[in-house]
Amino acid sequence: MLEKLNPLRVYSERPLRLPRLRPFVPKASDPPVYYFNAARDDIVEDVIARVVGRHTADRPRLELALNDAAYHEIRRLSRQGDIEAKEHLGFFKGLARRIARMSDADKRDALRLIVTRYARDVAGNFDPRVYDLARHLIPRLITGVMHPSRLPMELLPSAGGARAVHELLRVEGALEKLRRLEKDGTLVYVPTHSSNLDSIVLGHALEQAGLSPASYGAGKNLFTNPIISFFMHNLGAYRVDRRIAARAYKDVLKMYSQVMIERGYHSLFFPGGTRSRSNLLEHRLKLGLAGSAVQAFSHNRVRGVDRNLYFVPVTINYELVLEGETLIEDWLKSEGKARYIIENDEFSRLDRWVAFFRKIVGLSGACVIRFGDPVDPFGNPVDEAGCSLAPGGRPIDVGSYVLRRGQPVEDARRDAAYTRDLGEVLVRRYREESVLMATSLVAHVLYRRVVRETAGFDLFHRLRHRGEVSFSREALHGEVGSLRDRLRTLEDAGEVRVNHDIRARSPADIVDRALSVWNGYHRRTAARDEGAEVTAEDPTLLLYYQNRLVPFAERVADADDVAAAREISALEIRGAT
Amino acid sequence: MSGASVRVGVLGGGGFGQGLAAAAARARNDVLLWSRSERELPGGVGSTRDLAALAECDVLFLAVPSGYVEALSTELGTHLDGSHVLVHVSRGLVGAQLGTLSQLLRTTTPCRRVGALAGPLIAEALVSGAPSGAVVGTRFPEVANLVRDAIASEGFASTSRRTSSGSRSRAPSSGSSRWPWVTGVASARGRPP
Repeated sequence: MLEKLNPLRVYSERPLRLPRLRPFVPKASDPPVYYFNAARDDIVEDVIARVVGRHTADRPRLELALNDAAYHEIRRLSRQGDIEAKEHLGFFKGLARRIARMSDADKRDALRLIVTRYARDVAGNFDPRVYDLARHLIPRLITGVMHPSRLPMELLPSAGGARAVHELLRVEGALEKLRRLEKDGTLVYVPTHSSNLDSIVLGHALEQAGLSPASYGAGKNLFTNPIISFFMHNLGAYRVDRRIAARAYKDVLKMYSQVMIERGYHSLFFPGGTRSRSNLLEHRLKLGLAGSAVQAFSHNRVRGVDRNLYFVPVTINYELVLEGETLIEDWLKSEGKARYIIENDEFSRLDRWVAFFRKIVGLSGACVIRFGDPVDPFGNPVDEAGCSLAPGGRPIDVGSYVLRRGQPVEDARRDAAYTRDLGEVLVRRYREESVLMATSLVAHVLYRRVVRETAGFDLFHRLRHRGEVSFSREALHGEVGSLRDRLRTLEDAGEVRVNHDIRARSPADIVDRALSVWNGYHRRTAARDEGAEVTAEDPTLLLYYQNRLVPFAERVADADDVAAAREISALEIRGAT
Repeated sequence: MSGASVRVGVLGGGGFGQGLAAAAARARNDVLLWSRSERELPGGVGSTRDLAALAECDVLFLAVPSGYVEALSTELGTHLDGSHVLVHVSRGLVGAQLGTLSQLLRTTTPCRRVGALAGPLIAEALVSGAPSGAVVGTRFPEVANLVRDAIASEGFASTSRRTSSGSRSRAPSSGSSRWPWVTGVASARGRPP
C-alpha cells in the first residue's frame, strides 16, 4: 500500500537528518546532549519498557489502558480524517472490538505496539553540526531582518556578527552560578511563556550565557514548517502532539522527560503549559513534567546515583509581544477556557515577523531573559557549590527528602506532593524575577485610569470604553514617574525587577518608548499620542500589557487609585492562564 | 509498614504531649518527650530538654500552644533535614498572612512532609487508652501511615482512605492548604468503635 507521498508531510512526520560519513565521537568536554544520538535507541527502549511495565501490572489496569487509548484515538483520528487516520484508525477500531476476546499476551503486545509507536514519534535527535549552524546563522539572520544593509557583513564569519541581537536580547541573572552547577548537576529550566518565539529566544540566550543546550518538548504544530522542523528536530527537541489525549501517550511524554533527566540531559519546559493568554505571570502551573523531574531525582537516588538536580526559574520579558493581540482576544473570548492550540496567529505569518523585528530594531533590551537563582527539587535555595540550604542557610543533604525510615524509596504520591510545593515556590520566584518593561508601566497607568473612570463596571463593559479616557502629558508623566519609583523600592526589597533601560530614564522617555513600540506594530492603537494629551485608545491591549504588574498593583497605587488597583488585583483571582 | 518500631518524638509536656507519648509507648515505639520543664512521664517514655536529641526520631509531634510553634519550630528546624516528618496537634491560623501551622512549618524548617492531627482527640483517652479517634490532614499519604504506626496500638482499629471529595476538599479555615488524605485512628478495646 504505497501512499502518494506529500513531501511536506514526509518532512514533518520523519524529519530530515543529515547523513554522516564518519561516526561522530563527542569530546569529553562536550555537553551531555552531544552524546544523545548514541543513547537515543536505548532511551526509547527504556521509556517503552517502563511505560508498558506500569500498565501491565494487572489485567484491569491493562484493559483500562487499551480501552482508553482506543477511545481517545478513535475520536481524534476520525476528527482528523487525514493520512494518519487512514493508517491507524482501523487498528484502533479493531482493537476496541476485540479487547474483550483477546488473551492477556495479545493485550500486552497491543499495548507495547501502541507505546512503541508513541515513543518513536516523541524522541528527538541532536546533530552538533546543525547546532553549530543554528547558533551562528540564526542571530545573523535575525539581524539581517532588522538591518538589511548589514546582512552581507553579518554573514561574514569574521564579522563577529549578531551584535544587534546582543543589544536586543539582554541575558541576566545567576549565570556564573549556573555555569558552575551545570558541570556536575542537571539543570531543568522552567521559564514563563508568552510567545512562540520563547523557545528560539531561550535557545539563543543559553548560548549567549555560555550554558549548554537543553532538551525540550515542542508542539507538533511547530513541526509543520519543514525548515523550523529541521532545526527543531536536530537540536534535541522532542515532539509533543497535543491532540493525542490517550493516557498512554501522556505517560510516554512524562517518562521520556524523566529518563532524559535521570541520564543528566539538561531540560527545559514551560510549566504554564501554554502561552499566557492574558500576559499575567503564571500563577497556576501544570506540574506534570515538573513531577517527572522530581521522580527522576528519587529514581536516581534509589539506584545510588547522586547527581544533583536544579530547577532554574526563568522569566522572558518582552517590550512587545509578537502574538499579543491574538492572545488577549483569545483570553477574553473564552474567559479562561482558552483554546489550547491557536493556528494562524502572528507566529505563522511572515509579514508579522518582519513588522515585529522592524519595530524592535535598535531598541536595546527589548527582550530581557532573566535566569533566577536555582532551587533544588524541594524548593530549597542552593549555595554556590549546589548544596541545598535549610531556612537560616544551613546546608542539608538533599537526598534526605526521599528517605523513609533511613532508606531511599520511590513513591509517586509523595513526589506529587513535593511537586505541588515546588510549584508554589516557582510562582513566587516568577514574581521576584520578572522584569517590568516600559510598556507594562505605561499600560498600567493608562488602564488604571480607565478603571477609575469606569468604577464598578464589569471587565467586558469596561473594555468597550475605547478612546474615552485622556491624560494630559504632564499628569501621565507624573504618574509613570511615581509608579517607576515605587517599583524601584520594591526592587530594592527583592520583590520584582525593573528593566535596566528605564531605571534612570525620564518618565517622558518611558512614555515615548512605550508609545513608539506599540504604534505601528499592533494593528490596533493601544494609546494615541495627541501632543498635549495621551488617550487610552484600546483598553484591551492596555489590559494585556499591564497584566504583568497585577501582583504589585495595590502596593504601587496612590490613595486616589487604591480602589482601581484593588479591582485590577482581582484579575489574578479571576484565574485563567 | 508495620513491623519495625517507629522512633517517635513529642514536643510539649502538656496534656496532649503526654497523651501522645503514652499512646506511642503503648504501640511499642521508642518515645522521646521534649519539654521545657521537668515532668512526670508515662511509663516507657524517655525525656529530654535538648532539641538536638529529637533529630534521631522519624516523626515529631508538636503539641505546644500555637503561639509558640513559630519560635520553637525555627529552633527545632536547625537540627532536622528533609527526612523528618512533622505533625502538629496545635491548630489555628498564625502570622499576618493567617497561614496554617502546616504552612508555617514548611517555612521555618527544612521539612516538607508535614501533617495536622485533629479530630475528637481527647488527651485523657490517649493516656488511659480509652476508645478514641483522630484524623490526619496531609498532602502525603505516607505521613498518615506513619502517624498510624506511631500511635495506634494493638486492638486499635485504624482506617486510611482518600476522602470522598478527593483532593478538592479544603479545610474550611485553611485557605489554600489541601487535606486530601485522612487516616482514622480509632481505639477498639473490646468492642468495635
